[in-house]
Amino acid sequence: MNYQARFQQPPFDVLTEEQRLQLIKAASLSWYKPGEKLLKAGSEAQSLMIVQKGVIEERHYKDKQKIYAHYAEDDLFDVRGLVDGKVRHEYICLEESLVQEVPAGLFLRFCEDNKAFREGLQADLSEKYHRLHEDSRPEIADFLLSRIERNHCRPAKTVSGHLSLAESVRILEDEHLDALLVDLAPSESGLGIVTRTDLLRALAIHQKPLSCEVGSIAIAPLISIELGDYLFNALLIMTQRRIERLTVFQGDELVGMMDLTQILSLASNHSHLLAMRIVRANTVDELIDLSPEIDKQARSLFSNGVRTGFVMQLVSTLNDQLLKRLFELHFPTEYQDRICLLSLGSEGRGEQVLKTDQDNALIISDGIPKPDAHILEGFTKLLLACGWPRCKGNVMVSNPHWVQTQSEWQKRIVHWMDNSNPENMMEMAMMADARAVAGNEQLMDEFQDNLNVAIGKRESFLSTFVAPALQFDTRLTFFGRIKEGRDHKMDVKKAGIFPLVHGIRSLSLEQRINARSTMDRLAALKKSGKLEADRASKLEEAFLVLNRLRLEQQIDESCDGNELDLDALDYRRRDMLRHCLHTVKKFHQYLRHHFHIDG
Amino acid sequence: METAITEKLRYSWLNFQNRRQYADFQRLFGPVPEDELISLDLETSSLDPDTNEILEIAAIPVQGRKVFPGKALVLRVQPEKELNPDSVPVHQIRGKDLENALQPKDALEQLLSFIGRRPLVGYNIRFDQKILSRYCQTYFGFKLPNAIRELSHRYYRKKLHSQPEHITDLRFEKICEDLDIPVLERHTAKGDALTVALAWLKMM
Repeated sequence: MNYQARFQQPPFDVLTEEQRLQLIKAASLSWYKPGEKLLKAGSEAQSLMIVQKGVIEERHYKDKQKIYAHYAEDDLFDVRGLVDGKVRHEYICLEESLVQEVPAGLFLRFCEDNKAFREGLQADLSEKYHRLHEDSRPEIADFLLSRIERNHCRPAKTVSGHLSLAESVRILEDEHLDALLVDLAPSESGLGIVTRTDLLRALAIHQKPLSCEVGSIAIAPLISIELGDYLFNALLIMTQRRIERLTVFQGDELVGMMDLTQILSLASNHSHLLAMRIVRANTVDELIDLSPEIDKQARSLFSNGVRTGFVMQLVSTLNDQLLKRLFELHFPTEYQDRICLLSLGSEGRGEQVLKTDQDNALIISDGIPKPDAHILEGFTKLLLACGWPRCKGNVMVSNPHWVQTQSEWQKRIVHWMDNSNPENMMEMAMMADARAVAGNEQLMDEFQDNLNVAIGKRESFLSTFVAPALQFDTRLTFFGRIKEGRDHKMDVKKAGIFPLVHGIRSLSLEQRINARSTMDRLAALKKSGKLEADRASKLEEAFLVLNRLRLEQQIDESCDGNELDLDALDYRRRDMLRHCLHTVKKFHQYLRHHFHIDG
Repeated sequence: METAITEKLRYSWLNFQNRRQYADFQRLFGPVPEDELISLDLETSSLDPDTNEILEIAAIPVQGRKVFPGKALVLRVQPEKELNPDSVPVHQIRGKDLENALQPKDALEQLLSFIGRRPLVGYNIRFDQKILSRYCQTYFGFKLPNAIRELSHRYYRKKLHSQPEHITDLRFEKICEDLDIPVLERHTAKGDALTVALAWLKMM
């Protein structure tokens, strides 16, 4: 443990060397005993406190049950109290704590003198208090990442500079162009540009004769951009130079032209472009080529701070389109409105960002023969080619167990409820998240109705169904600290995400809510008054934050799957994680109480 | 009681004498600041307090319940004799580390003006006191006037009070382990002085 290393980390990382020295010089260490009050509500904060060891609890000054946060190693408080000049809550020592203190005066002087420090803290505060308000304009981030491609460019027509104005206008008109490139050889400028507006001005205002050479009014040199540059840069150049057109080159080769309206339309529709390409694909091979783009887009959107919920939504839309198109191209036409392709599990809920295993099933209309095994196996292989690995649990259309007729599914529902072993509960949970992605959606609606009716008859069954949500430890100690485990890793799915998803799924089944995604289910539960607004928004926050933490590590590849590397989390993320696990723990209690489960 | 009075008289006498002779060290003989301590640790060339030489001094101020490691005074001291290579494992200081070290007299002057009249706390602090007194005597003609506080004594008293049946292990490492003091800095003079300060404060 190096107590001074903390001063190199946020928010102190932006201090100047001299400021950091002042900080080190002024910082003191002292012990606090359990029960001791570090900060009193209503008092003036004397110092910024950084926990070196131990746990401090922030709670309401009257209502001792109302706990706002726990602070452990490397956490600091109370920034808000220092900035406002007044501490709002009580800070009590829970475990014997070693606390580093920075005098308030010095801290406030840094805030005044160092803009980055101040802004970092403000961002910190707002992140803490509005965690979910990430970038609210996702399409902009989306756009920032795109590079100029050939299909963004319009063909450019190059004409000789000796052409007359009349002929130039004719070409513009005939070829539906709004600008021409003009070859100015043998002058040194090379190429120039003439737009419709330039021609109008020359003819109407400067009253040039129609026979005048177009080269004389062309504007040179061209302002151009390289193929592969960021779209955003193109926009920047246009804005800076107050022009509306850019020529695009690849080395010396002229690729085409881009204009402002086009870029702006790309700015808002980039993801739609991918969707369009999927819908327009005419062969399975085209789709296979397109599928990695979805993953790429998901990663870049996410890394750019786009809201987790939004990325999930976008990715699931794109994946749905891909699945639907694959379905249309693969299954014989006579089957298409008599079977229904389902996405199950997280894909059914629309909560995937990176592709995970295939989780699909089929419902077949009663009275028609099931599709041949080679067709089904072929579909699974197609999905494999598109980047969905085979499912370890074999939940795939190539497995006859998941390809059933309407009446067979009906029987299956009864079978699950009569034999509530873990395997059946898992199957039922998968199907409770099922969503129709292609084919005849009525088949899915019917299944859903049957499921709802069956549960209506056996309400008590849900207390068995919900049980798996409670089987994993929330990994919090009695004092609300994170249990690190030996390897400093945590299975975030078991500790947090699964209990939330499954608990909310059970509550939705109980209320016959047909929504699929955890967020939609929460919204419906809140709307129907079954879940208090406060609880619902806490659960929503915890769900999104846990997913985000997992994704962050999946994307920078410090974690494949669900094992969160606790050492890689900065103190802010640890704090968030702790909050979320606390919410999960409370949710456990709620579920136990709600479904009358003992223990 | 009697010893306290004799001590006091002795200091007064010293005070009177020294104030005339050593105007530079007035702070040393002024009033003792209340509620303040210095956690002190020395690295020496050997374990014999009559002949060894100071190689490094670390002094960390303690005020009330707070320790200020960032305000520590850390001095490297040039020994007069060549370093005995056999003692390197004890203090971990090589001749090379002492290239920019201070002359003993300069180091002592800095230390005395830094600590003022504050009591010194340390583990086996008598050892350090003895050496510093020897140095003071040599260079300035008076003994180190600061009072001392022994970490292990306080620990022993505390244990005697709470768990009299347990004969306690008074080794430094054991005390720190028992008190669960985090090791914040490496095993250097400053690191040890900080550990002592934290252990001292934890027993308050």
